[in-house]
Amino acid sequence: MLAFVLRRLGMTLVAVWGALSAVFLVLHTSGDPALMMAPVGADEEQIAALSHALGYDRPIAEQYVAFFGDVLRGDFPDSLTFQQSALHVVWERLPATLTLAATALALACLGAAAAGLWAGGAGGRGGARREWPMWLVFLAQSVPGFYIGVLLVWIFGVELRWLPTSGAAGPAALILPAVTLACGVTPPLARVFRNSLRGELARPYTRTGTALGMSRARVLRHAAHGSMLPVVTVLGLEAGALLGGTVIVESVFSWPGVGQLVITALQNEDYPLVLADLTFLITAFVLVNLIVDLLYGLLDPRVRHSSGRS
Amino acid sequence: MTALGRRGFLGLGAGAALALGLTGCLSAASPAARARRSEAVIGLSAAVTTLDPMNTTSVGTDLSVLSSVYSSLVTRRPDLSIGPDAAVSWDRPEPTRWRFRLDGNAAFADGTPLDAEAVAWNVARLLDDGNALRMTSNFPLLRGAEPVDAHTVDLITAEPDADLPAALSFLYLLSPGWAARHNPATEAMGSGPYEIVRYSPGGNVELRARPGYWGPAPAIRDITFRITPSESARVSGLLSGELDMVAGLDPQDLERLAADRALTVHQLDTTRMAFIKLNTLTGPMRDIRVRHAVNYAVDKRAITGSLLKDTVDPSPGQLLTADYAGHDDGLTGYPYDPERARALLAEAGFGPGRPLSVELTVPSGQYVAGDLIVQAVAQQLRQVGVRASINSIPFTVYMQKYLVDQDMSDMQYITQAWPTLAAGGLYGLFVSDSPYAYWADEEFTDAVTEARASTDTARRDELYAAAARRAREQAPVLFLFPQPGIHGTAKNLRWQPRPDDWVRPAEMAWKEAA
Repeated sequence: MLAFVLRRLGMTLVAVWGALSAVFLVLHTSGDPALMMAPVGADEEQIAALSHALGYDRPIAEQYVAFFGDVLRGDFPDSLTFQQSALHVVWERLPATLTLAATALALACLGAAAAGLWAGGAGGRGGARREWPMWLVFLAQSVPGFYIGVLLVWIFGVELRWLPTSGAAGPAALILPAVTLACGVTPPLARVFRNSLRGELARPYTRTGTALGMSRARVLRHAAHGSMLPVVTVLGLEAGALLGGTVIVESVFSWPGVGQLVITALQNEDYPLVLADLTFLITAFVLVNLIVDLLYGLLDPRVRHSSGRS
Repeated sequence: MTALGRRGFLGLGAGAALALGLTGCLSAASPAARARRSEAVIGLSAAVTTLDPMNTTSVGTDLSVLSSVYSSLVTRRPDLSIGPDAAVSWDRPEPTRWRFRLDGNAAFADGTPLDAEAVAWNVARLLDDGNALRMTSNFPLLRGAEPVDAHTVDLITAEPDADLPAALSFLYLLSPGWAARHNPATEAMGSGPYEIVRYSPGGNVELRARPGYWGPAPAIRDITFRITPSESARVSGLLSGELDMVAGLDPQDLERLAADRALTVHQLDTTRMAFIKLNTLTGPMRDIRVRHAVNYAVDKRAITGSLLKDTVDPSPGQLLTADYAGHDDGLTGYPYDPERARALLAEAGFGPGRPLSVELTVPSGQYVAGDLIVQAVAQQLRQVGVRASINSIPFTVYMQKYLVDQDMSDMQYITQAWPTLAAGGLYGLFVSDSPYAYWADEEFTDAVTEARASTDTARRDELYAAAARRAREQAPVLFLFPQPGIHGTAKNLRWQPRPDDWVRPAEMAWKEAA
């Protein structure tokens, strides 16, 4: 088990390095940030001096080696706009994003569990009376997240004035962005849970349970447990959609998290800040997938034993 | 009790609590409720990046917040005149020496006085190249400061500098003793009307009026600057009553905001002029007839009417707006005259047989409605037979071509302003040896050079007027219009709109009737 975790952690590092390299190269071929920072009226020499001071006049290979050298020494370059440790700036914004993502994930799990149980719990019988939650799910999946966000802002913020639409001021401000974010993650979860549950309910052990006089709730509990594996796989994949979604949702709702930060950093050509921000996002994505892999072991003893032997 | 049951009773209680909570939310979100509590929420388009007022030049965000916390010697008032702040009066005893007399009560939040020694220390900090402060480049002629007595200080310039007070309205003063023990980039302790209650990089900023402030107390006690980078969030924030004030809105949202009776929408010209620079050094724009032709070919009024919703008027053939010292009121712009444009192009050798093809560059997303304006211009040029191909590129690539590579395309959309509102500063971008100019004109350059060195204001204004006339006639640009300033506030918020970018809480007040 430990070897498995260590190997996965190693792969995590490789994934982060690969993703950062790609972003580094794209960023550094798109222009010199000194041009963005120079005051109006600055001439070529002043811009060249600024570019030199920041190290952006060096060949890209040299900048690449210097950047990863700094990162390996734990000395992440300073943000150009904030003029302090880029990692620190991202760190300050991280709680806001984690709160939003965790709330959205909890909402998505609740929504998917409810819709999946209702639609899949009858084992495929029940028709439209059972299927209507899946239509809602289908609708939520068809509409892009930013559109849902703007729609919610309009209805609940501007027209009804029930809920705040910006700024992370108090728990009420969490509702709209979390619901918007959850709308993107719930559909695949609900769908896979419903199908998986249906499949379990058609298997002999649930029929045996029913025949032995087990209550419907107890049968469903066993079937739900059995149908968890594919759900957890999708959960891992959707973590990426969730993190990507925060970038859009945070912009729509002025949520002061890492998603909003990365957009402004890109607009300002603040390369170190973009890289620091993405380091967090990529690491979070890879870590979630690691956790999902570990959950497999907990949910399915067969996985645990085979990886233990290898 | 039996009829209702315990569950029903609990349900009722929960419902009542929820209703109360919701009403709480409702009243908390309205401008009227904030007015009663002496609070205001201001939407900012970008995060505050540093608390060091000498290490930023972003007026609309960083400096607007910091101007509430720190004081400067002099301040730029909403009508753009220069008025007193920590200095009560100033004059120029010698051409290269400005003398400032300080308010004897001026003091920092920790009680230390804001005296002549403190000002001298701040000037030394600004001019020390080792500090690499971003504000330093706004003071090219400043050489140092000498305290005369406890409350009088002299600022020395290398050459006569009439614009020094205007530049000093950007210089906010730190406490020397405090700065030695703290990091001014992440902490703040000033002599201004407010103090910072909460700040983290990239997050919202909260201010509270400082009880011991030596100047007039601000009208609103608690201020929140909310970071709202997306335009749609700023607009919905105003419409939903969550934001009390947003500066710098897009003309496309004007109608929607103006239709809301709970809001006041202010519109005025900013100090930033928009035009299309023409590369007069190489290519077809070397020919003055072609430059005149493109000026006649574009219907500026149609563009301001449709894309900018009539918020501004076309420029009267000037490179700077009416707010600059040195603006010439006597000029008129090029009228829309496509026939004349075609005739001029034919004279220059272009016509249906040999159409003129030009490249028109725009930095994507950088300027208000920039991409749309460029499309409209290209469309109108096509009407007179000029094939303008639009090249929309990121701002840094644009600046690389424009400034570093000196490879500007035939035409390029740009907006320019000069922070001190000095004609000499903005015209400096058009003199022959400037890398910004792409125009080598001796008459214009001589007039500007002489005007900048002149201490006689009448003579100086005359020279700037001559320069303005020369630019109008030679047309190094396709003259367009000032950039519009559109600001939205809650109906009950009193605030005098400004042509520049300052958003100062101390200039705001709730109306009594609220």
